[in-house]
This record gives sequence, C-alpha cells and structure tokens, in this order.
Amino acid sequence: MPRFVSMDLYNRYKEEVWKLTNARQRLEPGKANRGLTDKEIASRLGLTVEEVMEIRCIAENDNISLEAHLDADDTKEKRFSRPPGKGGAI
Amino acid sequence: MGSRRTANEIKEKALAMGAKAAGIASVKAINRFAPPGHRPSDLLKGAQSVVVVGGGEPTAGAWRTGTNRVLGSIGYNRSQLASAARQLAYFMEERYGHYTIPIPTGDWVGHYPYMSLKVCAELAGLGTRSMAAGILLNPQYGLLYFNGVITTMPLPEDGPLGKPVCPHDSCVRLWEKKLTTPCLSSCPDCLSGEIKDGKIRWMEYRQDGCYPRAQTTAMDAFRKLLLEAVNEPDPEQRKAILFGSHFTRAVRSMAYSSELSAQCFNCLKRCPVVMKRVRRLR
Repeated sequence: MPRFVSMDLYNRYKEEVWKLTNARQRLEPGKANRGLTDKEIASRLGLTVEEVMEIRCIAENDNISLEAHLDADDTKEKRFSRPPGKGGAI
Repeated sequence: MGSRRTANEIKEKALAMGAKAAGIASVKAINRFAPPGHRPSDLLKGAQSVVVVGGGEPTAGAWRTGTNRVLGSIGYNRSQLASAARQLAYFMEERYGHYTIPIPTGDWVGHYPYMSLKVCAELAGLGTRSMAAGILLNPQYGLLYFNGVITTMPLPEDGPLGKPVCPHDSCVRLWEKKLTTPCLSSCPDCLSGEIKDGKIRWMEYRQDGCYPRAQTTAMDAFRKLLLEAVNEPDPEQRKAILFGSHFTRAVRSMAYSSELSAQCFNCLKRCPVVMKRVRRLR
C-alpha cells in the first residue's frame, strides 16, 4: 500500500522525476527514446519505487494548471474551426 | 506454434466480435521495446502473443460535426473494444486451451498505462506512428483505438507495416512549402517535428500540453476542482466551484464514462490519412 510522501521530498525531487517520465515524448525513427518507468527513475535517483510513483502522480497534476483545463474548451473550439496560422492567432 | 490458419481464425473472430481490424504481435518482439514492469509477461505468466484489436474510431460523420465539443462527446467509446477483447479471451481459452486475458486498459498509476497498446498495435501491423503525437495511423481506417488480449498461445506474428502511413504525400508537399503539416499547425503547443526526405525525421509530443485538452473534464480536472473547492474559504465561492459547469461535466464524465478520453481530435481533424475515409461518403 503506497504511503503519502512528504511535501519536502516531493518538492526536492519533482522536477527531476518529471524530466525522466514520458511527459515529453520524442519519436526519431530508428532511435530508442522513451520515458523511464518508476523503477528505473527510482534506481537513477536513489528513491524507492513507491516514492517515485507518488511524486510522479502528484507532479502530473501539479504541472498542469486548473486554468489549462478550464480554458481548453475555448482553445479547442477556436482551433476546430480555424487552426493557428490560418488567420487569427490563438 | 499455432498455424497461420489458426491466427486468421482468431482475427476473423475478433472482427466478428466488433473490431474493425486485428493483428498479432509476439511478446518477444514487444519486449524489445517495452520496459520491464510493463510487458505482457508481467501481466500474464508465460505470455507468448498479443492479439490486438482496433476500432472504436469516430464515424465519418463525427468528423463533420459542427463543434469540437460534439466530436469530443461522440468520437470515442471505450466499451466496444473492451467487450470485443473480453469475448475474444473467452473464445481463445475455450477453443485453444491457452490462458488468455484482456489487456487491462485503465491507467497503471497516474498517467502511466499497464503497458503500451501503441507498441503492441504497431508490432501487430495495425498502423505506424504519426507526426500527430505519435498516434498510430492505419492505412485503411486512419485513426483507430486499440485493445487486445494477452495469451500463452504462441501465434505467428504479423509484424510492423513495411511502409510508414505518415506523412501523407500532401503533408510532405506542405512541409516543403511552409515547414508545417496540418497536425503540427493545429496544435503548436503540444506538437513539433520535422520531415526530411519525405519521412518523419523527428516528432515531439508534450503530454502536459495535450492532457487538459484531451481530458478536459476527466479525473485530473475533477481532482483539481475538488482541491480548489476544499481550499476555498468562502462558502458561496465554494458553491460556485462545485455547482459550476466544469465540475458538473467532470462528475458526469466519471459517472457515465462520457467525455473522458481523446476529446480534442484537432490534430487529426485535418489529417489527410483520416480524411480520405470521410471523403468517401455523401
């Protein structure tokens, strides 16, 4: 059963954990690019798998603002009818 | 090893159970890409093959709806393929006597899946990666969603498609003229990439940019609004958050499993591979 991580631990590692996840995905045909698993991140940063899992899970929410969700409909509707670059920056 | 005839029988059954397309990948091939902990054999001991089913895509008409909100609401339904996979698992156990499970398609923890359906589908020959967030494009159907079963039954694999589906010729021409493609221009915050010599040279997808648009009213939005409400000291303002339209949609999304996934679609709305199917109808 995972335990809550302390916010101290979270704040210390959230950026490092985030950078190693698959939040940014790069495809280059012929090259192996992938985010790391919780276990791989834990091994790299000297944390337990459970700690990484908790930190990643919180960071996934923390790094995307509530405003991004609230504004999404508006952005999507504008781009639905006219993508950026076709007149009218969005 | 099951014969090619058996493999075809399984794929035909999958189509009869509601899939639009079906293919087979070997666990050995998947394990060359999938990391430990997220491999078929982590989910089923002795797994040998994965039968991937594709379907659940927007109808041709869905792409012609007047608003993104409507397309987002009807573009995808997660029950159809899950049902096909479960029926196929029962069928394979009964008919061939091999352990078979439907692939768990919920998230493992947070935004990480149990395993990558994209890798499985690619290796089962159901599509190739696109400039649009690496979403697999199928040469016949364009966009497909995926599900499948993991089995201890060794089956002949289909293997990846020989020719990349993306970029389409018209996208290559557009890139040569304007250094963009319909998908890249539709969402510059989430997507970037480059085409060279008519092929994808690189593509980058920022999940954090895409997530609030693809999952506008899903679980993350629910939790953020809940935290906002819990932290709000003013009871009237708290009411405005909890009774407001976004929270109402988020609750409804979860209760009825509607509007949960892939609600954006903008990167594929002008994709010529997807649109060629739409253009066939009147």
